[in-house]
Amino acid sequence: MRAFVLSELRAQQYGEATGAKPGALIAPLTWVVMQLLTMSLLLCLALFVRVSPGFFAAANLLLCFVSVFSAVVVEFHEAALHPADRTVLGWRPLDRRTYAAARGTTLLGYVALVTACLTVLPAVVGAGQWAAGPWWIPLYVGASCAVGATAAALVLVLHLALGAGPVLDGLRTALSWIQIIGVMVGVYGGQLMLRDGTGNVEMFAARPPPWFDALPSTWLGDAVAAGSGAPAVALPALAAAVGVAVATSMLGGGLLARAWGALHDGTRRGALRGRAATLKGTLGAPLMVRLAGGRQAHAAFWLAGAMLRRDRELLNRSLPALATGAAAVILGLATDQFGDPLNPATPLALRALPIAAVALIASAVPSLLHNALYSRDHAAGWRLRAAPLPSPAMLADGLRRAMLLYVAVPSVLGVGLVAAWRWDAPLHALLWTGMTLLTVDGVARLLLPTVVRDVPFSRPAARGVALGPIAIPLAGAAAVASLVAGLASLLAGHPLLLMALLAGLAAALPLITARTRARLDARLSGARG
Amino acid sequence: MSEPAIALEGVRKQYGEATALVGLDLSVPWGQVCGLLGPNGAGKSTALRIIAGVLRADSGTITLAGHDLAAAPLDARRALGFVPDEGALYGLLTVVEHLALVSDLHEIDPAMATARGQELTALFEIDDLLGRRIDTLSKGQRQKASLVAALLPDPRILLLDEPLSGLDARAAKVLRDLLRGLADRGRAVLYSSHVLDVVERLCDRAVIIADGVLVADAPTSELLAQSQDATLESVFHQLTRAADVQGLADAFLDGV
Repeated sequence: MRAFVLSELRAQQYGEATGAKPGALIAPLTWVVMQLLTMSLLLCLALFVRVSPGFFAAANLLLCFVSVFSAVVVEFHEAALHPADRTVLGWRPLDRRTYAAARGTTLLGYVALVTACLTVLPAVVGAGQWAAGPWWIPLYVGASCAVGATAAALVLVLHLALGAGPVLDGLRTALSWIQIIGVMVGVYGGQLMLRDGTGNVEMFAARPPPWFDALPSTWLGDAVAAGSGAPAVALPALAAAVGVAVATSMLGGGLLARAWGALHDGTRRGALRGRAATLKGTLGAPLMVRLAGGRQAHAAFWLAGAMLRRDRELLNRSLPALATGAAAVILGLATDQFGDPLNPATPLALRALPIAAVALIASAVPSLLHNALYSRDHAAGWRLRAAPLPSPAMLADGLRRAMLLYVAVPSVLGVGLVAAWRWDAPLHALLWTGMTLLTVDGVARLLLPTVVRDVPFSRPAARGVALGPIAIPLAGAAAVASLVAGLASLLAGHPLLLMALLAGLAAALPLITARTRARLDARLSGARG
Repeated sequence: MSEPAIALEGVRKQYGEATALVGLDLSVPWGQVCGLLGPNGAGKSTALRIIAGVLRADSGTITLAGHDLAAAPLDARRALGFVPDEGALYGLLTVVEHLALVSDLHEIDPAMATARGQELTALFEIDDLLGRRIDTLSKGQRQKASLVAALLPDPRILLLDEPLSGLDARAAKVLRDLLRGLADRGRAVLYSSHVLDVVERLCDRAVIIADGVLVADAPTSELLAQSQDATLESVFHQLTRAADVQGLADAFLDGV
């Protein structure tokens, strides 16, 4: 614990990523706690007295497993092993065991906190169920701790066995998305379950699907319920769960200790060598450079793309903005309200969510552009400020292109694929996707002078910058996108007019750029020296 | 090239209530290594960042290689290479990516950039680190990468803010020899440092500023001749009105 206090690595990593001071670090952790407690509370309230104690325990244990697994993957660097620890270890006379103790305490503290958040409510609320016996609380707490430890240890084993790299980075990004969308859909679904008067929840609990019965959490939940009156019945299952938790923890802990040692020794020896690389006089292939409009414009685009792909903190700050659009699509699919807006026969009520999805995706644009002004590498912003650029607007334009290519296009194409499947009308989905992309790009071009007030990636990231002073651009983007999407929907059944709208949008893009370039140049010239 | 490489006239910079530069006048001719000295907070880094076009002066004119930085920023910026304090590179890029980025931003011929990059990385012994991400490099390695990036466009004017910071003895000697060679070939170097003996040995001229005001501007030999013990350190203490450092140190040691 002393080592933890002396070199609180999680705080250091978090502070480095967010610019927060150590004293202000309670807030993000409080947010995690509140989020987990809310999810746990919703599930407890939705299931209380409506399902059997076995199902109640199984559902909560499953939530515990998924949440702990996800939390440790998403915050693996902060909680378990951060490559940037080299900068902490590099010059300090820190013993290998002290480092391991500090890291171990950080990890244990984090896992214990997350597990406790997901355990306390089901343990207390579950004890009040009519069929729960007096041994419910100790048995449930034991089972939940075993599940939490197993989930965390599994992450360690998977992470360290697979090795850090694109697979884990991809998984981390995917889980970040799942968490954010899950919270949004979960809150919506939770209140639906609370208000459900049709007995769907009871029916599901009474006859769960086979996959649910096959889960270890279901066996353990049944054992907790059965043992709450006679604990001896639950002991074999509980002992097995604890045994699995201990075995995976030992394996994960061993791998982690080895990784810590390698990091420590590698830092001490300075033996980390680079991958073989040869000097290149330029970043881009000739065709790419020509498409971008010159080497400087391509460099601005390339740098923005690299930062969007590699700066995980930037990605995490940007995800919530995009996730609202994804949540609209998922809710539309889940509630059967994601109708084809280009089919004249679709009732107006069923066109609302597809139009809302376009508006929400477009309203993410100002947030993404604004977030890209901030970076952990902000000190290097002088490079762009001092560069001999004939038009500083190319810096903002490079950011727009990168944001479009790496963020907007994949998101909109994803929505387009879902729409093609759901509407069973690939042509309509293609037209809708095209309209969305043109709208998103148009909104981005319109908002560049308003939102990009400084050289990209040149400001220090600080807590709260994700929101920023972008309420008006955000509302404007949503309004413009709703208008365009609504108009497109009204033109359903008039293919010529619809094509004219798309052609008009495409023609407007270069005009918008031409109109805004002078303002953007003036603004970014002012931001440079 | 009759005009000076760097010319500052009445450059003023204010940060809120604090004044960093008070009408600074400075001229650095071609073929000279000029040392920029001053105590902490004197305004050295601010002056360098304004000359590099990273910060905007509140008033005054800056002329680089005969081009007004405000009126002809492109030509002025093209003449310049800059190494800021602590390097300040993109940690998420590899060394090779960073050098290619500099090459593209300065529109250096790719073949020339490759050849020059190979020479410079070999000279500073970082040619085996090209594939490493910059945030995994040591402070000295980052400083070397920063120097290579500044020299890559073959600038006619070089601005250096504490360039020896973190460098090992060999790299420091390489840099000193390189700067001397560049000046001998007609380039201008403005070199800010706290290491007075290096300035003493390397610089043809020393400029001392204190509280944003220029307090001395003379050839190094002249400044040394004026000092009591022929060191730049005593000139520095005298001109910057430093407290009786030796007396304070003695008083502290008496209590140990």
